Amino acid sequence: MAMKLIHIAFRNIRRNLRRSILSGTAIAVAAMSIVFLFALVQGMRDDMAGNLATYYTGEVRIRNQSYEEYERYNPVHLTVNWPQIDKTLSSMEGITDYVPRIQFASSFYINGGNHPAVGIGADFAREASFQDLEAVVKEGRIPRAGENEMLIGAVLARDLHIDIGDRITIMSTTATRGSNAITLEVVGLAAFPVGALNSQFFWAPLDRVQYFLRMDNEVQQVLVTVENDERETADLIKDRLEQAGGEPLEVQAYNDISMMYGFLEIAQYIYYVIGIFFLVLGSTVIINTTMMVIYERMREIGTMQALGMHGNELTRLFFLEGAIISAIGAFVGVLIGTIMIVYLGQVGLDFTDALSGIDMEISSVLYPKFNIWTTIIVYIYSVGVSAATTLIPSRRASKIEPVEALRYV
Amino acid sequence: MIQVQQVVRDYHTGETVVHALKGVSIDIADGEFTSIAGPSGSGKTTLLNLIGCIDSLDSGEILIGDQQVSTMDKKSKTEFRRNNLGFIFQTYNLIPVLSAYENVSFVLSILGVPEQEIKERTMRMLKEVGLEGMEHRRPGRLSGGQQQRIAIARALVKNPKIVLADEPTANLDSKTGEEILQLMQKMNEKYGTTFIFSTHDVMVMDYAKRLVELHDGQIISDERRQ
Amino acid sequence: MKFIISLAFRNLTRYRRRTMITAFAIAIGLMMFIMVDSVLIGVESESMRNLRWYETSAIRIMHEDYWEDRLMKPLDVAVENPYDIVHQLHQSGYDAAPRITFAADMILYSDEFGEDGNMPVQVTAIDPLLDNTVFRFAETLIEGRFVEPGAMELVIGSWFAEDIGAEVGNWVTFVTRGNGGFYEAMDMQIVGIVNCPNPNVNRTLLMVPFDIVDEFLAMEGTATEINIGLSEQEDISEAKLHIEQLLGNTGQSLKIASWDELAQDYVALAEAKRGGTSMILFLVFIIAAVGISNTMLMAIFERIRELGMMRALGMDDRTIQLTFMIEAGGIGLIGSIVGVILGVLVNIYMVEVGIDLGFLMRDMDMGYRIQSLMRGAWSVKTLVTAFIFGTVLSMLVAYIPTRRALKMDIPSCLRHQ
Repeated sequence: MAMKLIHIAFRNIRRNLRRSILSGTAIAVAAMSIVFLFALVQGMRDDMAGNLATYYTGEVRIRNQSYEEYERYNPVHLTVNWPQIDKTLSSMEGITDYVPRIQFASSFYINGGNHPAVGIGADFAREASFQDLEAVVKEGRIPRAGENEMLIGAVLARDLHIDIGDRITIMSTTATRGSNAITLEVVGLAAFPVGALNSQFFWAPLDRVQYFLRMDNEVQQVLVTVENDERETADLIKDRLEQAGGEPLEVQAYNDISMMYGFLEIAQYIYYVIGIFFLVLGSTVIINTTMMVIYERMREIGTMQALGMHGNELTRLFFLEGAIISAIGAFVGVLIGTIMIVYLGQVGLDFTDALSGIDMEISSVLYPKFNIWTTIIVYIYSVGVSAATTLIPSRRASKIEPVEALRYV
Repeated sequence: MIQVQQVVRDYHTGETVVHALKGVSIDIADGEFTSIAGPSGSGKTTLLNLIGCIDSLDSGEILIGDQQVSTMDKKSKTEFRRNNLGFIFQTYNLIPVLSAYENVSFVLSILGVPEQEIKERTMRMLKEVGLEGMEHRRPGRLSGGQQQRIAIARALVKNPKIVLADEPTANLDSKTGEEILQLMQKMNEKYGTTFIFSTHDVMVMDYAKRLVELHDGQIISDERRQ
Repeated sequence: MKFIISLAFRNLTRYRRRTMITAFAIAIGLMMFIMVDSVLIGVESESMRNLRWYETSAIRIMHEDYWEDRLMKPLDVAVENPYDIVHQLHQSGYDAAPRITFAADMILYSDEFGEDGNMPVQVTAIDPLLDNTVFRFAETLIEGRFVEPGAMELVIGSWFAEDIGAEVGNWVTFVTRGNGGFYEAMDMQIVGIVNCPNPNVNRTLLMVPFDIVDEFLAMEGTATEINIGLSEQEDISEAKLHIEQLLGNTGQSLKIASWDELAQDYVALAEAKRGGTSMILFLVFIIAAVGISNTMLMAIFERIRELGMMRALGMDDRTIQLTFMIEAGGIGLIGSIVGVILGVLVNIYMVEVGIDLGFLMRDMDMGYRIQSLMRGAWSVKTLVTAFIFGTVLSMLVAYIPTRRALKMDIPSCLRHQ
């Protein structure tokens, strides 16, 4: 009997193709929007995580223990012993890669005025495996070790009318708390995916920065990428470094560091709320449409009852029809949503203008992230809601006496 | 005077063609009380609808008075119906949210009749069909017979030339049906309105002064009685 | 006509539940529209106020060449004889105040702050007598006092002070290059802290006396900018034109910019935010429209035979259209009334109390110049628009299903169900 019911259900759907398509479309649109929205949120989260790891903190960050407390003061004199860290990390397991960095506040002195900029001293040879700097260089090239050269964020260059070949004098406070200046030649313009990096930062060779800031062979931080859990590995590194002697250090996993990340988790909950809101709204469309469809077929109900089908069977039939349409509609919606996600996941959504005024570690171009589990959940939910909403009116419809329904004619 | 000349009407349902009327011709004089009878599918409803200007024919002509209604455009037909035709349906087709009075008066409203006159004519008509005192009741609270009376009042209140009634007694028991027929007969005699029924109810056929029988889209007999 | 309206509203009572649900969906949509619009207006007007009162002033006069390089804050392309210009402006009834802004390195010492440090900052040299006629810092002082002419003193924004652990009495040193390229260091003492409602300013403000900077940086009496304050009622473009004419013969090439030119990042952001919320609202409206359309479709469908009857009886299509459209309009009307009422109630809360976003604003630059409270604003225009939109949209949405039903031939209508 169940088999026959499915046949009847399919036939009914085909018979009223336009109506079926209408309700199926409503479900598809709702499912598509929801799946897409969640993918976008996931994309933002992954993006932020990626950006933090690559450009700001690595997965684990090693700094002078007092640095955090006075971070606002740009205490370049609070350094860490690079050779020692290098030796320790190179002998540890579970470490994918690590790079030394010096981040320092400085001023560009150009013509009659000056402008603040943040410098990053980096070992470009080591950076090559840590991040894809080549891809980020828009024009020119990466600075060479030992040379007084810099790679500057493209927006910063544009704002200050700087171009490749210009020689810029930079002034900063050194690790010995005096002032020093150095002139660097611009050899490359960089276009990072994170807006802030392009408008405030410049990169210079580590050895020259160490020289300029009188830091000998110390550095300001070491960024590490790891194989396993970041927090566990961070503890491990801290222990090892302490065993090796030297001052105690601050070793933190990236998700403990930035307050930004905490904000993102809040933001994510907000977006989930918005997502659920759309889910509910989408559901009302589905409910509305399926209710309409049922009412349209009151007469059919009478006919079918007169033909011998009643009660539970009738309910099951309508439910089946609703479920089939929902299953197909939600599938189409999720499919289109997924296609959009995959396409935009490659191409990206350009939010550059909208985000230009905001200072967050999210890229200006966002890539929706496909997640099979979210997709499946959204699918099941859409089908569930729409199938369930056919249940109520079809139950009610099946309780009508055949004679009444026919008289409805 | 209604002149139906060689009227053909076909229906196309999917692949099949149904020939509802295969060249029907008939003349109906003013004031007649005519019944068009026949089994299901004989074309009687189709003929009624064509005379009633709510359907369009495929070939032939229909003239009412001296107007060729069969070639009128949609708007003109609507206007013609508004001014000249009354309808009575098997299922009454009253507006459930309006009272008996309002169901009747609204046809005068759409004719643009002044307010005072509407009231007068409506009340008079309702009294004539025997619904005095029930003006404010809604159809839901009235019996089938009473509802059909409202329908009759509605059809006649605008003094139409012709009233077309499609199976007016089919939903009524025989006693009520007879009452309705007698009422319509009275109206026909009093106002001289042409009444054309489509029916397969023997009692209705008995009341008719002229009986036209249709079979398979053609007239097979046309009998005057009394 | 009266009859049609009466019939339409009577028909609304036929399916009360469906009508209510649809009206409710419209109401929610409108409520959201009113709320979002109110918040945007509130946030934007507060931002504008905070920009004009604390950051950009209403109109700013600079040397023409300064504008090009303004990010570098050059000192050599400045406005000469600023006080003459200020005097001229005063005579025409404008409040004006000169300033010198320059970039410097601020040095902190461990004996005052616990650790040595330095950071790039922007310093604003103000005329203590005139500045508060244009800007509104006077009301924002929370500790200490304002700077006095001739003294090596400084006033700091409260968030800035919090961030670096500064207190009244602390000394800091500014190192910078003066007008001519020489290096100069100035030791200043914090004498006051202001809590400025403009978060961007509160995070970065350092105010010092004009005459001190003029001397130390060899400005020779010039100012990098002259700020003009206007009341909110005054028309800015008119004033700008007037000032341009007024200063046409000073012999200097001056750039006169209004606040929105100076705060381009903010303006771009506000526009983008509006665009984004418009899209969301559009989606909400689509959903409400679908609801109405479905309801009307059901309504018409259930009444096809009645429709056929009305047509047979000679009611023309236009009248029937009107009946259904008014019926839909009735649903829209109910929804609009409820929506506007809900919107007003929510708005009362948003305007009087607002939502505290301090935790977000404190460390993130969201672009809007709001310190903590996100408040709504009253806009009769929005309420009226929402109301009309809800009603009219419903009427329009009913048009197509009705037209489709009217295309059916009459006998089919009569045969239906």
